[in-house]
Parts: sequence; structure tokens; C-alpha cells
Amino acid sequence: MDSISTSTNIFLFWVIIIFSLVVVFLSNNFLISESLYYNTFAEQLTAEKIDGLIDQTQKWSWLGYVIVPIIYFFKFSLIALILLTGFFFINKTVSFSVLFKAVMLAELPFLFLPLIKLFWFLFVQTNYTFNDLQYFYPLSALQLFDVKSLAIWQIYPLQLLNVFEMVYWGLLAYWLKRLLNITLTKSMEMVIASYGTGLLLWVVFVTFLSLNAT
Amino acid sequence: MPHKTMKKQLIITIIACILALLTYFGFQIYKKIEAKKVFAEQVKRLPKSTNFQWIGKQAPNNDAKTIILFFNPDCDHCQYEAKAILEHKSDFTTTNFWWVTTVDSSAINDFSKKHHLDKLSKHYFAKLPVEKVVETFGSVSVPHIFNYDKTGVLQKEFRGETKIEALLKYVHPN
Repeated sequence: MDSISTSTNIFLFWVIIIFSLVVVFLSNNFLISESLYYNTFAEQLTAEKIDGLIDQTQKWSWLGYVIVPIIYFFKFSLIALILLTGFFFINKTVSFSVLFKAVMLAELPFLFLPLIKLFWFLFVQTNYTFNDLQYFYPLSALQLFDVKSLAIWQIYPLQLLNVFEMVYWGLLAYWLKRLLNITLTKSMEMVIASYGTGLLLWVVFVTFLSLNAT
Repeated sequence: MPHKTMKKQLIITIIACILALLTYFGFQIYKKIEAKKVFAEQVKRLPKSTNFQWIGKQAPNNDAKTIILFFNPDCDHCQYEAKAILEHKSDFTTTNFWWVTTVDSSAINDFSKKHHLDKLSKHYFAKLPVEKVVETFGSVSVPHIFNYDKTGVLQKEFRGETKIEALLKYVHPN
């Protein structure tokens, strides 16, 4: 049973990774062009400097692909670990691999996010800069504000306040309920207490870092 | 029973740690935001030249346009900036340049000589200790350029290397 669960997890993990890599490839090839660099930096940098920047970015573009599985692995492991800690305190024995699976299944709606972004900048807002790409987050609180009027540290918390995140919480609770045979109320309590606390700490930490970095 | 008590103690410890972390980061965030507000207001006006430790001649606080340029002699982008400014010196005849850095005076002299800026009349070099830089401008990178008009009001701030055309846009607005 354990080996089946582990193989399912590996399969699911690589489905998410391959899907994400394809989206990164599409974004790199269809959204990031030389004219985007010129649109973004022409006001401050000379053409030669921009060309140098493009060369450097192309040279290191492989890093963008290598980092995808690493980030996802750490993200899933960390959330599963936080949930495991929560279950430990309510005296329920659960396996890490089941939690890992629940976390991956809940992640699925987030995979559509870069696709929406791709569609938006390819067909709707065709004139854009790097900042537009970076700060684009559909159905988030950030859309209620003019990004230019915000300080950099305000952007991440506002991005995080979005419909996808709410769906994620609901789905995480749903998959925990299904995979662990507990009530939805119990699983929701667990998500709020453990994942919610972890996320709050993470947001505060990222805000602190972005304030210090700027 | 002892197992249960231990678990309870562990929960209390974890909650206390989380609260301590949130309080610490929350307080640091608050302090930083407040400081940023102060610096943002401060840099809107040209600082007094007496606040700087001038190497050679002292810059005047007169009715001229002023560009404050934070630099480090070893930084490639700063060297590009010096070279480009020298090449366009005729475009900046009415502008004072305050070259500010945290390194020692001999490195400043070497830099000004290397880029022939020491021969230009409106170029002034100053050393400012790191803590004074933070007090006056908040966090700055190198190069970091502040462009002030004749009345000492900040027109534009550039972080990082900046082409001459961008600087001139604020020196000669029309």
C-alpha cells in the first residue's frame, strides 16, 4: 500500500513539474522578448547595456528550469511537514506521504495561474513590461490597487490575498478529509491552525525581507 | 500521562515561539516602514553640504542644479557613469556633481584622477560614513543618483547604472 502511495506521489509530482516546465518554456519563448527588455529598461540603460543584459539572461535561462522541481519539492515537503506537526498534536497518526499527496492535489488549480497569465499577455495586454509580468496576479487584492502607488513590501501580501489561495485552503481540507477519513470540519481546522499559521509566518518573513532588500 | 503533559508543554512552547517571531518581525517591519517614510521625505530636499566630509574643495549650496551620485571606485557601473559624464561634460556646465562614497580619501582621489574629474570645476568629492549615509538617505545602492533642481527639490532618483540621456532629461527638461 505504501509503495503504491509513493509511486502515485512520484507520478503526480512529475506531472506537476512537467506541466510547470512547459509553461515556463512557453512564457520564456512567447512573453519574454528582446523588445520587452527595451520597453522595460530603455529609459535608464543604453542599448549596449540592454543587449548585455539579454545575453546574460539567455546564458542563465537554464537555471529557471532547474529550479522548478527544487522549489516545488521544498514547498510540498514544508507544507506536509507543517500539517504533520498539526496532526501530531491532536494525536492522529498520519503518514508523510499521504500529506504530501494531499498538498500536491490541492496545488492543481495553481497550475492554471501561469496559463491565465500567458493568455492575458499574449492576447489581451500585448504591450507590457517586466513589472507588469511580475505583478500580474488575477483575482487577487493587488488588482484593486495601482501597483505604482504601492511600496514593494506591500505587493506580496496583496498578491497572496487571492481567490486561488482560498480554493487551495478548501481543496487542502477536502483532500485531507478524503485521504485520512476525517470530517471536513476537522480537516479545515487543521488547515487553518497549521498551514494558516505557517503561511502567516511566511508572509511576515517575506515582507520583512523585501523591506530590508529595498 | 507524562507523555500528554510533555505534548502540552511542546504546544505552548511552539505557540510562544510563533508569537515571539511574529512580534519581532512585526516590530522590525513597523520600524523599517517608519524609517522609510522619514528618509523618503528627507531626500526630497537637497541635503546641506556641511553634512559631508569633502575631499578637496567643498561643494556649495547655491542655486544650481545638483546631481548627487553615490559610488564606489571599484564598481564597474560607477566607472561607466564617470566616463559617460566626462564625455558629456559640456551638457552639464550648470550642474554641480556631488560624488559621494564611503571609502577612504586616497581611493576617492585615485578615482577622480583616473576619470579626470578632478580637473572639472563643478565636480565635488565627499566621504560619508555608512551610518551617516543611512541617516541622510536611507538605503542606497551604487551607483545611486539623486537629481535636484535649482531650488534643491528632488526631480528624479535613479537606482543603478543610468544612461546620460536619462540624466539630461532632468538637467535640461525642455
